[in-house]
Amino acid sequence: MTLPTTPLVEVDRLSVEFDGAVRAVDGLSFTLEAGRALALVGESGSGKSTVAGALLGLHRGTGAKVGGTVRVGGIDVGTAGPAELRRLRGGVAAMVFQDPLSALDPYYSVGDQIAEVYRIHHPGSKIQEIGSTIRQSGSTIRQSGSTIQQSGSGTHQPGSGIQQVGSTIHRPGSRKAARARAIEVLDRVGIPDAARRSRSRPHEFSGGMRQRALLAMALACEPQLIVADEPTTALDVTVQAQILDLLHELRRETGTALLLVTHDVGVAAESVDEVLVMRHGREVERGPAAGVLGAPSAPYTRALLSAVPRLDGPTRTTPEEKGETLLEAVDLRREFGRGKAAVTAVDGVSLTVRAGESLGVVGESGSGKTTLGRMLVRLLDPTGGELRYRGEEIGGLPDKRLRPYRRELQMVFQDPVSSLNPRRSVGESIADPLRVAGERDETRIRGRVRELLDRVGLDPDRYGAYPHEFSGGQRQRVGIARALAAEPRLIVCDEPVSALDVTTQAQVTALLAELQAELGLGLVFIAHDLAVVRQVSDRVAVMRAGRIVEQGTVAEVYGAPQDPYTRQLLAAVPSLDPVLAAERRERRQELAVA
Amino acid sequence: MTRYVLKRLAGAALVLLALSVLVYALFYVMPGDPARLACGERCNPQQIAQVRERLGLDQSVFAQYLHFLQGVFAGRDYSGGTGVLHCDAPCLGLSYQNDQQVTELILERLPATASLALGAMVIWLVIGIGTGLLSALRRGGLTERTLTVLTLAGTGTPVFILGLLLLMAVCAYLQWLPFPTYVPLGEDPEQWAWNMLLPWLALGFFESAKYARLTRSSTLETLAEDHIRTFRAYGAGERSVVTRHALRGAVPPVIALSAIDLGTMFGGAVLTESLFGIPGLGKTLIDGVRHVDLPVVVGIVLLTGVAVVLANVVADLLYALADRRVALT
Repeated sequence: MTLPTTPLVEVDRLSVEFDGAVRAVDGLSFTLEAGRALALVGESGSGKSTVAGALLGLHRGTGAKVGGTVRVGGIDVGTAGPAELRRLRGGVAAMVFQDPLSALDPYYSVGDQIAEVYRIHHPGSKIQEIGSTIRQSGSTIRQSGSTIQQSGSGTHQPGSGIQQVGSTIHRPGSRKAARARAIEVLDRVGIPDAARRSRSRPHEFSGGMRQRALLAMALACEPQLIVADEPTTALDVTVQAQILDLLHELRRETGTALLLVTHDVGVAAESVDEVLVMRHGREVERGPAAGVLGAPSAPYTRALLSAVPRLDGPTRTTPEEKGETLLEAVDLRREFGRGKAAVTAVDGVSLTVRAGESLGVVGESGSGKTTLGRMLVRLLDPTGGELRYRGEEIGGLPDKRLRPYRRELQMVFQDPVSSLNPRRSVGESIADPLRVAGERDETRIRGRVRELLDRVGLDPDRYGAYPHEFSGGQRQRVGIARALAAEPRLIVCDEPVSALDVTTQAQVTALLAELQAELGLGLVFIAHDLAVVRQVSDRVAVMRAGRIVEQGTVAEVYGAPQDPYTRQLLAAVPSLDPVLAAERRERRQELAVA
Repeated sequence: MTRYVLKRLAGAALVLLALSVLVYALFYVMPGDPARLACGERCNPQQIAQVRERLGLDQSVFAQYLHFLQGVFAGRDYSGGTGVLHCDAPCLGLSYQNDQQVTELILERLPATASLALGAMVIWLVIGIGTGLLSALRRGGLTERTLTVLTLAGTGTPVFILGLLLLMAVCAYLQWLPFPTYVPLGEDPEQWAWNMLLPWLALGFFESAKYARLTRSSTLETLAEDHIRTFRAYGAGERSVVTRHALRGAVPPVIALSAIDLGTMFGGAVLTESLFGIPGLGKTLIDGVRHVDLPVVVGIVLLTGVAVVLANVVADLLYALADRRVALT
């Protein structure tokens, strides 16, 4: 079969400029053949999401200056008229957005929203628009032809326009037809009891189900291309694996092409044939996934890949001698609410942290790890169990008597933006613990803060600068400096690097390890990312539903996991090696069956 | 849901009780002898004493308040010179002025106030949502700046100035309409509407400024949300994005505020009623205060309280109905 060989997506010297000054994309060119998958990989600010928006013409009418040409499915996105642009959006190329909660309208049911999208592209009821429907179905036939050729197996034909018109009882474009289609695609993406759940509003869905619903919306009009912008970033690792598997399966069935935008190299390795690494709006390197990720040629790609924490990477060397036991929790509990509405966030957790040791606490969202972390430094009061600091019971101490312990137990928070007061200079924020500890001498405070800034790798002269003048990684350094100010013995870090790019993440974890070795700190490192935890911890505790399901050394937990949940978590971690990723996918399916 | 409503109503009852105590207490620190005022200019001390006894004003404040409560829940009897006057529960007492039952008085005046408030609400919703939406969609343009100036002028102009200007322009200068007099709806609906037109416009336009600003800000907020981007990215036309998605998110706070404003107005839109001579509750309330007519004042204040509290419950229910994420507890 000789089909026209023009690629589905042709991007030629695309540049996008915001507000006249910021050049988000700078002369990027690439093509994507029908049915293929390409990942745009890059750190924040690399312009990858801007490219995704440009494919659907989302920058039109926003004041952004777009140069170069973008052609998707034969439509010139830059010059297409309104009708053609509408056909492109959703009909030819469908976008899957990052945050599935905010990407859906909270006021309408999920099914209604998908039906609305379907009706946009199947107006049906008006005579003059029937022509366009037929034209569209024509292109669908051609597409399905190429699908057969590609997938070969012919499992599930993409319902071609004609077939659909013939087989559905409802007039295409009628409300009933749209509802039926919505239920059909929701069922296809694995929403159980789709007919009933289609009437639920987005907030009644879990995060994973919302992401499935967004995929269903994308499928509704059988597009030739799915543009997915960080489709799994907001999800837990096991849910992420489910969504990526689903995407893989859907593409195998329908032959839809995929443009995946992600900061996570592992996610890209799991999902695509080709990778394009972006930096500062430009292409750094491009090629088959196995090549770019396995044997990168550009220095930036190499740096990026070496910064990615991996399950087979180097681990920490655990110090020989054991330090004194700093913190000991026995059967620690915390409930929120009373009576019927009570929720047990932490349900009988026992652990110890020694000086110079770092304990990783890993778990998915809602597992109670943050509640536990806050209790360990007594930011939250435990509702049961014991908490001992160097042999003293501190779990029930009133605030006044807790004072001397406060400076020895410090915390580094997840979000370096919201955990610093935007109206105070970073120097003042770092000085806070010193003042609380009773230091009054201003020159000594200043001197100490400058020393701390220097210690965490920031310019001491930036004492008077405000948080917004710093990058994310620098702000997290400020947070660490603040925790160090009071000369603590133990620091609890709650997701300290999850908001950071991988290269910054590697720098911050390295800094933490360095400080720990130098100061002999006890460290509790809370994170959802198993690879990061493996990299920085001596011992690991795996949390689920408020309990520790498995606890041991890194070698024990990662090498020979005992608990099924730990195994499930480990199997869900995306691999950087496309071959290994495929193996993992199979293992996940086995685990799911078992 | 039912539990929520019951809980709120129980709370409302407590609020109303507290309100009645407060109004009673306020009246006894105010100067003026209601018996003398009720009796009239040429009363001798003996007649005044008689009136005082008949109205129960010779008893202690506490006893009077208990009688009042008894009247509300069980009804009470008044012994006058000519015989016993029975007042059924809920009895809010008799007006000191003309011995008319307060409940009757309120029922008599309520329709005028209700016609004014409901009509004005239609005006402020139409003008408010319309201009608010327009200025949100034409952000930064001449239209928006003009509308901003107009709504600011609206918020800054007292309703009696606005009303006077309307009266002068429409009735005196252009003579399109006669000066309005109140005609009850039941008597002649057409005349009722024509006569209410100017009061509606004055009050509605005055209130609409606030709604325009609220609609504008909540529309802009909704338009900036991610789900709007989703539907744009799926080819939804601008009109459907605005009406189906942006307005849907912008309107609930407007409706909720309307319910509360409407509740407040049931106590009478005093200035508008006075200006246009509408015999509503606001005018009655002012007269009551002027004549230290305690039962009338307490009655209307309580009615306002009921209306405000109910309006709040209704607003919450409407909000929860409009936005299913809101949990009523």
